[in-house]
Amino acid sequence: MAGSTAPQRLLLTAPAGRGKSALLVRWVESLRQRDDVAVAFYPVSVRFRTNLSSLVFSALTARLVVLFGEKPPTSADMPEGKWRWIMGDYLQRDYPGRRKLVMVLDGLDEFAGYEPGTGLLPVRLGDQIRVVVAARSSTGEPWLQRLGWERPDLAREIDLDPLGQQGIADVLNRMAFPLDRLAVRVDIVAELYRLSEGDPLLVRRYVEDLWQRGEEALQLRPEDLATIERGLEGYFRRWWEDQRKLWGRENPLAERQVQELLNLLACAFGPLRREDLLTVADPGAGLSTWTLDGALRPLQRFIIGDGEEQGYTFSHPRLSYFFYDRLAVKERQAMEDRFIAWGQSVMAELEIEGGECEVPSYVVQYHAAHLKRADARIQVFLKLVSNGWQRAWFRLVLFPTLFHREFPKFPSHATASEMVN
Amino acid sequence: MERHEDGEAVVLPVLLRPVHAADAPFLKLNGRPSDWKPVTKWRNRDEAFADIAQGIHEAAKALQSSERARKTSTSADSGISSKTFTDLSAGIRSLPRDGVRPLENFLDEYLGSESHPVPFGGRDDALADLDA
Repeated sequence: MAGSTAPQRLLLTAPAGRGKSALLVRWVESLRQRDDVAVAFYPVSVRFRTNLSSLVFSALTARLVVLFGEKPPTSADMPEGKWRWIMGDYLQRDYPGRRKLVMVLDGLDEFAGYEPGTGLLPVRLGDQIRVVVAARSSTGEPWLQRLGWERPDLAREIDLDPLGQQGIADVLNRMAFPLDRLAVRVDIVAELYRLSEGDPLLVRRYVEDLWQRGEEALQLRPEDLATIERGLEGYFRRWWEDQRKLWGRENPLAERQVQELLNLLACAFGPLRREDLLTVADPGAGLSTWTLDGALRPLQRFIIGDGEEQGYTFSHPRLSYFFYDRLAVKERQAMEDRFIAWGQSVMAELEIEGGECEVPSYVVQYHAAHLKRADARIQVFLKLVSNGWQRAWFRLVLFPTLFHREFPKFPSHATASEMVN
Repeated sequence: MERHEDGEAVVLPVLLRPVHAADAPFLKLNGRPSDWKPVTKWRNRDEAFADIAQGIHEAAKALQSSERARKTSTSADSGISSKTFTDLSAGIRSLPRDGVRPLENFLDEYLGSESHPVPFGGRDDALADLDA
């Protein structure tokens, strides 16, 4: 893509957990160090709360403006469509000088508030402009078709395969001492391959666990791994058994609380803040301000976030699907009922306050998704068009990451013209 | 075997004839021919030797890759995430909405740092494909 003869557009597709984001970030890092390439990168990610289209397009546009040597925008007070239009305008321009400008957009399938299609990019890209997008393999209409990139001279598509044994050895090698010593142990590499089936998500889990063991990892024998079943099931079964041994009889509540957190995160559509977790948790689980940190500790290696602005969520969506699938229908139903009850109470509050009150961003962004999953009646959905709800939604779309830090006034579009000089 | 354990050499046991070696230390390694089937037990011995050659080829490539990774890890591992973040957030930082912190968190998750390396590898071909 950074070369000169390839098509200007590239699509990277693979199933969830195959390592698209990891690959792109490493590639972007290598581009950043090159003198002949300028790079604009932004991820669309539910986990990192960057999936609102207004945030993504404003960030990419701001990057492009700077790379074109112009003064960056200082106001965000503009709808998503306008940002996208300005982004497209820059992408149509020829990039001055001999350098290439590569724009990388990861996570096309995770957008909220925008459906990527033929309008994502302008028909003609400027000289020296390249665009790379990544998306989870589509079960419906193929991405190339959706984006209107079917012509071979227009775009190239790359699929990402699982890792082979040599790839796993390479992962161990790059971790340096002591894990590089395991890279030449063909028996260990073969066991890791059997356990992970070359799935980069699982390879990372196992390699991180080995890294935690320091030099002790060098004592690892293949028979230590031989009893573990392959796949996520085997990994988590082993982890859960280890945890139960650790908890023993001294802390009977720990198991219940950790289970509750796993279930909440599995049923959530996005990150939950500490306060959210405590609001939706089953009171019988005994989770409180005092016990939450203790319950989160064993999950640290599987979840990301700070509990406040970023919230907490699984480190990868596939972990959410895995734990969700393990729940019995009744358990899912009970959890869904609690999420919906929470959403309804927030809606009621918004109606009373006319939208001018502080409410959890999770509810504003994902309550409709919970209603949809629960096959709610149309009358329930109709409440989402109330004035209070709409005001809360617009505030979230325009100020997604500031949502909890302050309570901005409903923006005036009078300043939109000041966006780009 | 000690040099193999220390990562200084690669031992690849080859079984020519059936032997009683239940406690042999080399059995923990991935020997050849595949599944430890001795060469003399193969119907077509050329296939057995091709299988051994394949094993040697794979071991040699793994060794090369190990050397390459060792060289690159020393030059590129220090403070990589913060430098990347500073460069990639230029322009975004000027926006009043905070799209910068999530970007930093994202880069940290995938690049890590010297003290907290994030496992990654086996993607040389894919990286070359992106470059092409």
